[in-house]
Amino acid sequence: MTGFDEVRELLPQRDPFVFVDQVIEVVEGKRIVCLKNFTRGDFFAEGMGRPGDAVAESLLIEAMAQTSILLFRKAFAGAMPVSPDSLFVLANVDAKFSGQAFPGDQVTLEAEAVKVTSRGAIVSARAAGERGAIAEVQFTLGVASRNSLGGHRDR
Amino acid sequence: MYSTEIERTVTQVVAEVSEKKEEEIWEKRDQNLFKDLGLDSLLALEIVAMLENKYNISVPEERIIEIATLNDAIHLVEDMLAAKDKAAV
Repeated sequence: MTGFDEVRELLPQRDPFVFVDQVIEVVEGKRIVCLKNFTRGDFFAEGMGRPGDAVAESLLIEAMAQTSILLFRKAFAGAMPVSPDSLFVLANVDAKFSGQAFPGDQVTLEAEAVKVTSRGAIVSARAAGERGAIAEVQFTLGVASRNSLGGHRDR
Repeated sequence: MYSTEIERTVTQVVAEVSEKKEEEIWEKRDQNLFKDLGLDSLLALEIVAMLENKYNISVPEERIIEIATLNDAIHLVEDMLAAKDKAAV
C-alpha cells in the first residue's frame, strides 16, 4: 500500500490540490486502485453552500486523472519509455456521471490502461462510493518532457 | 459506397473521433488525416484504441505511425486480422 506521503511525491500536483489519499492495489502493466476520503475539512468544502451539497464533478474528474498518473508511476514503472520527469498532458476527457460523492464519503478510484505508447495513452477510470458507481471517464493523455514545455520542478 | 465491413467500420470510427461526417471522411480516404483532416497523434491513438476494441487486435506502436490516410488505417486492420487468422490456424 502506498500512503499519502508517497502519493504526494509521485504526483506533480501540490497540496491542497491532491485528490488521492492512498494506493491500495497495483496490477503491473494494467491497473491501479486508490482511495480518497472527502471530508468537511477539505478546502473546497468551504465553498459548498449547504450541508448535503455534492462534491463537484470537476474535482472527481481531477481525482480520476491523478489516479491515472499514479497508474503510470506505479504500474508501469520501468516498463514504459517514460522518464520520472515526464509530464502527462490531458488531451481529452469523456466523462459519464451516474452518481454523486459527498463530504464524509470514501471514494474508490480505479484506473486501467486501454492503450499505451511512448507518446500518449488512453486510460479508462472509474469512481465509486458507498452508494455505488459515481462516474466513468476515458482520458486521452499526451506524454511530454518537462524540458519541451519549458517548465521546471520546484522539488 | 463501401465494399467491405472493415471499410465501413474504420470510416465510422474515424468520423466519430474526428467529429466529422462519415461521407467526408470516406470521400477523402486518400488524403492525409493529419494535414488535410486536422487529426493529431492523440486522436490517432483514440482511433487505434477503438479499432483494437472492435476487432480484438493489438496494434504495435511501430505500426501506428504507418497510418497517414483512412486507406492506411483500413489496410492496417485488414493486415492485423489476416495475421490473427493465420496465427489461429
